[in-house]
Amino acid sequence: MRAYIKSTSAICAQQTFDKSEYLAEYIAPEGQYLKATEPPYRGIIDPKQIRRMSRIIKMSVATAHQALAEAEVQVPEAIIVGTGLGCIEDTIKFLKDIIEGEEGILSPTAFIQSTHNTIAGQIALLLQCPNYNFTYANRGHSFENSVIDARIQLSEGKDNILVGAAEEMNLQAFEIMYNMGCTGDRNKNDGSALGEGASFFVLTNEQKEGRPYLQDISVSNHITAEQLEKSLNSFLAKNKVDASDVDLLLMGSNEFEKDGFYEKIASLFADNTPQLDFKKICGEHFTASGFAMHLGTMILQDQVSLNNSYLAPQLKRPVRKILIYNHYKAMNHTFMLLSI
Amino acid sequence: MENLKEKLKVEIIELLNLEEMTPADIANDEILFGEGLGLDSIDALELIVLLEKNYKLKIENPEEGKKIFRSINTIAEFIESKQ
Repeated sequence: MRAYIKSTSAICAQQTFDKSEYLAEYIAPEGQYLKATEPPYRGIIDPKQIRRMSRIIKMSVATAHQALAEAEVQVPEAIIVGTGLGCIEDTIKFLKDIIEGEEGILSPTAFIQSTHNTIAGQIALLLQCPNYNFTYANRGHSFENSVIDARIQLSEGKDNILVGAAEEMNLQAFEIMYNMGCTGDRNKNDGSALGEGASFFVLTNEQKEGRPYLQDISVSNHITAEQLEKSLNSFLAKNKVDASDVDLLLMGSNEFEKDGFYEKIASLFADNTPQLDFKKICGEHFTASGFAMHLGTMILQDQVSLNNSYLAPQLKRPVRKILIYNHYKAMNHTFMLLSI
Repeated sequence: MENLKEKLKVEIIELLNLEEMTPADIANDEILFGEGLGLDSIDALELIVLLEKNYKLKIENPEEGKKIFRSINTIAEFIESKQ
């Protein structure tokens, strides 16, 4: 079933929150991972509320707020959030407090905010929203499972579903992941750079001229490149889409990680099919496909401005169908088909 | 005592993330909770943690806590009385 995208908002390493400056100028990253370019939160979030919010909460609340405002929705009928690591900054602070305080008295704020579902809970509290509230923490499919749930909610008659992806990174979390071999160091060019950010959407059943929609989503785990090809073919066939109908490929590959999966997908499309590696913008993280869906939506909505961007491939025709392919560590594979 | 009060203000601003506030913005006798500085029950727990960690002082009785956390003056007096 189609899930129409009323609105979307994102914060990532590049400028995406201020839509008047959307990806207008390249922001050179600094440090080992891609830090989010965050907007000034005052004016978006009540200053009294900000002081207890960690960065992931602020990024999520700001993007949820912008998406709801653009959709002219006061209270969504469901709030669904996907996050792999959740509120990792507060989790680290809380665990550090336990060790340094020798399991003595602990700061309540870090404890309260150290759970994954703080994000969806905080948004609901600010909106006074008593409706369905769910968080998916399923590593590389956290956002995908949120979207699948959102589609189920829409099929059951709910409308205006707020669905989002959120991830934050800090130096300690980066070092742990780097030492475990889970990521590369951007400074050393030795692998995909980690990123962070939040992407939110308001989904609806309501069709409208010029409104992009998520046509379908498919997820699979631990498959081979050959199985991936079959998976793509059946995904396209199910949606009655030919490879030549796809106007743009949004791929999770990057210059340091050209693996067999992305090469396999690229080989199934004509050489002149434009391809954009979205992780150059948002970096690698568990919910990077959330940003891909945001970027795809923006491209479908606003073809011209992105053509002027430093990142856009040469688009020779109006973009009407976008195929997103992403995988996390070759374990969690995702196809999403966006159309307008 | 004055040094202690200034130190407490710096610690509270940092601990409670009171952005855009400086020690000069908090009067020694200003009510910290409710209509004054506007702190709430989670802040009270944070202040209990602060006293225990930084000053090795425990507050066992909630009624006692209300009096101690009334203002910077009362917190400083409590710390002084125990040292």
